[in-house]
Amino acid sequence: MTPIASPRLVSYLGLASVCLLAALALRRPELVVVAAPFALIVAVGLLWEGRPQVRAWLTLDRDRALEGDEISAEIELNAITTIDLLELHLPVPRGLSVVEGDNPGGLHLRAGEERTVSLRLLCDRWGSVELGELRVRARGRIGMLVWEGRINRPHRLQIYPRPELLQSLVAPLHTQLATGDLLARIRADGLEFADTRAFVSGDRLRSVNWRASARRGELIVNERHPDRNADVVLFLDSFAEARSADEADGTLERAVRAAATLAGRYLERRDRVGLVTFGGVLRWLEPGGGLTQRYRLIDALLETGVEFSYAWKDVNIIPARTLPPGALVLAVTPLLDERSIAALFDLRARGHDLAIVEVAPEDAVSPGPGVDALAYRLWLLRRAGLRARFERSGVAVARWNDDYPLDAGLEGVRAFRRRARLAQR
Amino acid sequence: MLASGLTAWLALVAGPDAVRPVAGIGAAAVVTLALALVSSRPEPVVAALALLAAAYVAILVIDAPTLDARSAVVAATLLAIGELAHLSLEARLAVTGEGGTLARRVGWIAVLAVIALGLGASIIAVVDVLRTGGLAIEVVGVAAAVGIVALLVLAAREALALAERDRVD
Repeated sequence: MTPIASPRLVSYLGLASVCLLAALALRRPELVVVAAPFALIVAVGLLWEGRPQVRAWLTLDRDRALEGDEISAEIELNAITTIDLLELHLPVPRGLSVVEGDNPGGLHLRAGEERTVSLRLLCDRWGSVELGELRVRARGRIGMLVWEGRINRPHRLQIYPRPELLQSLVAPLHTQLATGDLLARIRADGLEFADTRAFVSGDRLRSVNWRASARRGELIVNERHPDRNADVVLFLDSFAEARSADEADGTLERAVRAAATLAGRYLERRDRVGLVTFGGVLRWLEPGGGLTQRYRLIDALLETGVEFSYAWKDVNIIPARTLPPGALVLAVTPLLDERSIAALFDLRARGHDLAIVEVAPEDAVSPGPGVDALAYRLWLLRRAGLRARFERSGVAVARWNDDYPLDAGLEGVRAFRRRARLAQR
Repeated sequence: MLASGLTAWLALVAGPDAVRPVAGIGAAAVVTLALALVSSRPEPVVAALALLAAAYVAILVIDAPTLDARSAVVAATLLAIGELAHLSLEARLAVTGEGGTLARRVGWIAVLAVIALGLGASIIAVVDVLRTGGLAIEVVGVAAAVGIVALLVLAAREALALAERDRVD
């Protein structure tokens, strides 16, 4: 620990010196009497009070939590020397807040005493946070020197996004080869009845529809739709975000929450899910399935942040394997940055099955009077025009804000895709 | 309050010629101390203590008592004023402490004041015994003063060396 002189040290030293000099100059022993306590307290404080020694450990009751959870942090202290006042502070990173316990707090510890300080921390925001740099400041009984130091007991805490309410998902247009929960359009072995046709050599006997065969006088077999899985790529736009001054959640927080929810739900359906975080820093995760992929996706999402960049980026920089043919690309974006908008048009132009969940940034903007209000209306019109452009390209845009759940927004996408399919027919 | 009390007491015990300077310097000390507490700055505290000591020096210079035994009380009170003023300033910046921290500190200041009173009384007693002495006693007095200064210098050097070691570590 580093010693820092208390303001009293300089004051008392100065006062004692002046009094002693005055005592000599004026030949008055009374001034020595005045100086003596100040000189003595400084001398005793510097020579007698040594370096305070304390050991500390930090334990968290878990290393993974959901947004909104409360976790318990315990700081165990073991004082080797007596410390009159130990000020203890655990700096809490963004995303966590102290709801119970004194932080910073002060303690009196006797030599050999062990003490545990408990704190309750609220996980305010998803993210991967590191805490554990304990800051201590100790002073002795006299306190001419104050000792400051840091004790590093690093702990990484993964705060997973709170899942959004979601009843049903956007069905991809194309399915893949592996078995899943999605009804494929093709006809093959499966459970769901599709059609009947005449028996051909090689058909299995169990496929014969005996009732239809009896009516038609020839062997008729049932055709079925197989249950297949699909590839889904979550395209998370992290170029820009909208955040109001008083709002804790910006569009990025909600986008990550939506992406995590969608990833979890698609993986539950045995689909393969990939991730492209398209922003100042490009991150990607090739489509995969299972619990491992789920944790990989969540961990990748927790690393997401808005990194400022002037560089123009397009879909060419995304590795081709990340966007497999026939995959549903589900973009979660506030539609604020031209680069991500251009990339989405580009993806559509390349024939990808694309749907957009627009994390509406309008709530974060409060227009002023006069020209501001006019500019705000123009901005809203431009955004409506942009959505119309996407829809003309055959891309469904679901608007999602705090007023209604994600499911309501996705229902718009599902309805649009049903209508679009009917129109094609 | 303690500073005001000390000023009032010094003005009361001062001779007729010393009352005005003592009261004036003491009032200035009280105002300085109040400023220090209001502005939450430690620097004016030492100025206030120096002014209170100056008020006492005024008594010693103007009234010129033979050997003033009240100096022990003045020393103990000055120490208590300084400690309480710094405690007040630290309490504003300090974090939430355990219950009883403040009471323990105040109790410790009272103990310090009593020790200061005893120390002052002892010095006065020794000086009184040795007052009749000649040059040898003068030499002993100067040596004691030099010794105290040397002790302070040694203590300061020790603290600086300790700080330097920590910086290197």
